[in-house]
Amino acid sequence: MTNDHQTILTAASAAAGPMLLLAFGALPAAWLNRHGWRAARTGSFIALASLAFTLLSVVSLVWLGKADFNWAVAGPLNLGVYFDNLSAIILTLVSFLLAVVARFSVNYLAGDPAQGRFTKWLCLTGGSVLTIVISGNLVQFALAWCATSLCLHQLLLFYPGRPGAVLAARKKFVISRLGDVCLLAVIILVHDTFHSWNFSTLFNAAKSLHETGPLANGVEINVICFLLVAGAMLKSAQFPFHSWLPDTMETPTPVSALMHAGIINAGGFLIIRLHPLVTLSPAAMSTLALFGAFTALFASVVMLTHASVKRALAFSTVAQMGFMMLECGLGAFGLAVLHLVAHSLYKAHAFLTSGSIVGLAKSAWTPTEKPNAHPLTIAAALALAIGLTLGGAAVFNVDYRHEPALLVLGCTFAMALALRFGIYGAKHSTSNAWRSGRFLAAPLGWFIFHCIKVSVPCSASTSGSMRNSTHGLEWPWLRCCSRSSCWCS
Amino acid sequence: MALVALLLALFLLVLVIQTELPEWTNRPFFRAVYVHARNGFYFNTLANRAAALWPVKTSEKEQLKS
Repeated sequence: MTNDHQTILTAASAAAGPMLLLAFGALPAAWLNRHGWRAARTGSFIALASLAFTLLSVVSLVWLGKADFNWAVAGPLNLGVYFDNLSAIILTLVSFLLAVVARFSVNYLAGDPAQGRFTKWLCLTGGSVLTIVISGNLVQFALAWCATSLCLHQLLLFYPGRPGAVLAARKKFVISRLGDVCLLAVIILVHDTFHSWNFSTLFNAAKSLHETGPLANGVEINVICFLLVAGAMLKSAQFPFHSWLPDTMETPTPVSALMHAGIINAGGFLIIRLHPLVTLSPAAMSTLALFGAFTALFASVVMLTHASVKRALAFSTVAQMGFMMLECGLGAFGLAVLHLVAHSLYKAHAFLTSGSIVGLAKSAWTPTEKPNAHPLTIAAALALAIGLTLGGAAVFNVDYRHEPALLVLGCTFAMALALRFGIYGAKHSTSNAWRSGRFLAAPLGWFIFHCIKVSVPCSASTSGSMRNSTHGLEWPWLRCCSRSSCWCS
Repeated sequence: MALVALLLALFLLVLVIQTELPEWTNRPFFRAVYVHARNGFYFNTLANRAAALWPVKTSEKEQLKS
């Protein structure tokens, strides 16, 4: 690993944003409170500056290529920046959301005596999340991961007199510490097995293990993968650990927006970042897929019954995270990134506008009734889904026995698509059907794209059914992100 | 393949529930299901009881009263 000038430029511009935010957050809360509104304006400006630095780093990445920068090496421990396509996507996403949320909270909390303290912890939380994204080694990753949850704890207890807030924050605190224990165990085991914490070294080691086939130290690697899966499930509010998320609604709405859009998906990011490692254990991947699928189904049923906008949105987040974990567990990491970005953007928007729904309802809004499907429509949708998926397999020459992810996700999307067309086609005009069907265009596009990719013989050399995800060609699909909404929302 | 079949069956089930639940509200069984779902199948209650094991400090109690 050489730290040449080009790498340093990319790494420095990527690290500048989080450093700025953390530096602002280090200012004393009492002093910031005295300058409340102006402190919030400054915080919002700093979030905007960090977004500018992020965009600079993305330009630098496109021009100069991936950055793997290491500084202050002391044994296996060092400070590093690992900046590739995945980091660039997530860094841009989170900086953008943070800039929007910081600007939103300037007016949202105007006049609050603790506005300065709020801005301080908002910037610290944002800075920690950005540090997770650009981390170059596992220890730095875990430290930033832990710092994020501790800073978020301060935001959740922004109104410490509210019993609901205290209860929810405690549940979150205990679950987060369990997640930290998982990561700590991973750090120790990874050092025992691979003798390094650097991501690039780990990925190379994992790649060679993929090629050699049956593993000599299989038990240790399985334990590492299961711990990573457990850490991701604890962070992303998966099934047995989900109950804190719908309860954290006592905090100011901008915090909910940032948490649901920028922080909760850190679990998914952990799995996607370390996917060369996690894919070494098929058992861990299957566990992740099963828990993710169950969470998605459980939460999307519970969501239907909630009348409170924010609680329903919280259960929707749980369901979406479950669906993302399912995609990760099936090895569809590209789709998981797409889902992460799309979900973050739409959920941040939904939370920030949730307050306006009341005003809208008071003025002119009449609730539109949800159309019910005739049982025959559902049967037809199922038949169409199976037909589309098998037909797709025939057209593109795909063998589903080697592509379980394509089969499940293809069938699921086709089913949702067919049902939406069925319902809207029967009860509404055709233009409505197109409008609702368009939302599924991006996942369906991904599906067709992967079918083509699989059917091209040269890609057959990639290891097993687990595909390398952050492929350059998948970037065009990210353009459809803001429009694609998943069917469990 | 068993995993794949299970996942597909589960997703079909939730799709049916999502689209049909409003029509089913007249039947007593589905009304009961609705109430259980509304309470999150009581997992939250269990978590809240577990969280109550953490003793509340006096200063926090005073804050809660205010």
